[in-house]
Amino acid sequence: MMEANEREQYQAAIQGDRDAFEMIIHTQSRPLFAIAYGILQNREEAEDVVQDALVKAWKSRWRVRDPEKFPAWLGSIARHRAHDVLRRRRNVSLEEQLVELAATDADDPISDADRQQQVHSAMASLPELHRAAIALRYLEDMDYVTIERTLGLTNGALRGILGRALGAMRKKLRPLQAIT
Amino acid sequence: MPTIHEEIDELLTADLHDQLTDSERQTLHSHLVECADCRQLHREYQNMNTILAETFEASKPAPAFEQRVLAAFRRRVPNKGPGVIRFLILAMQSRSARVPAVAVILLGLVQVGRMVTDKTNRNGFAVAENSIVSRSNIPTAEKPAPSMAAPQNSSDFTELAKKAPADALTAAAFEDRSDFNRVLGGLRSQLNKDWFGTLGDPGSLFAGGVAGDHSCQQRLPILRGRSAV
Repeated sequence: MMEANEREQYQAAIQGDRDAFEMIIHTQSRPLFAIAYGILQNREEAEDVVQDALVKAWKSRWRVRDPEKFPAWLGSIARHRAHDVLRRRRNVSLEEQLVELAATDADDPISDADRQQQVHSAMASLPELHRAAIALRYLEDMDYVTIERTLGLTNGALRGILGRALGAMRKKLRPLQAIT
Repeated sequence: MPTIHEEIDELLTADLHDQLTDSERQTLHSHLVECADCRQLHREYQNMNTILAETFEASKPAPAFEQRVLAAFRRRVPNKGPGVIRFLILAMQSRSARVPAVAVILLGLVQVGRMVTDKTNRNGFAVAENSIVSRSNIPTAEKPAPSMAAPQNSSDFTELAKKAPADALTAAAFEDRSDFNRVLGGLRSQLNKDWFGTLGDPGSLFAGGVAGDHSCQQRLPILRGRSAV
């Protein structure tokens, strides 16, 4: 259950209180980024998706009847927007994508390029909802209750999704684990 | 009931994330002590958890991320003061406001419908009245009766009936009962001629009107009923 003050904040935002909505931007922009990043695996695109999702949410906030469902509704907007970007990106040739990915990795001095590449590849093979759930867990360190609320899932559904997702990734990342 | 091996991915994942209940954790760890395959699996999950945590750590957004998003939002959605639309949105959020609003709209529509219908009827009647009067040569204050010779026989009447529009006949019936009787008598005579090939005395028809024309009434009982209107 949502706390009373949180619920009031969502209710006020639905009713057009801009300050309340800006507070929600503060608290929800990182989870939204995690959802978008999980799907797109690109920081710039994920940030654009967050901005688009928030503008769209503000314009159509009156559609939300139950304030408790506001975070899940926001999350679904971000997921759909990220899906649109991904679909548009699939029209770009695979070669161009790999060049872009290599350029991104070269700019990042912290990460190991090979490992990043394999993790990205393993993530990309998962369904979008599974990727979003993993990103919320590992980017935002969210507990299951918060992930359930953000994605609009039940506890059983989330556990199943994360179990299957990590099970699939474990198989794909087995060679990497042997090196590690 | 599913066995622990069927749910092992789910249980090991939830264990890594510290999301198992006490009883679930106890059951899983007891199983791991007994099952070497699941212990191996558990190690693989732990390694993968470390890889994922390190990979995603590098992908976290910068500290100023929220400020950037907020600034972009403010740029794209300028803050406007409360307007009529916002007030309506607020009002429509409340169910108690929605019912009276719908009732008021329906009443308004009914009222508008009444006004339009009433105006149309009045206009319609006026137009019809003017049309009848203008086309039927009914004498009015502005338009006195034209000097027209009264029909003297059946053929005169036939010509007159051809020229006169139907609404003129109707109007004549309401204007003057004797005119109506004359018109009806003429029609009977014409019908009598056309249907039975016999022609009564037109002069007696026009002079006596319907009441005096017994022969016609006997031949055309249907019209007799109508003459009593």
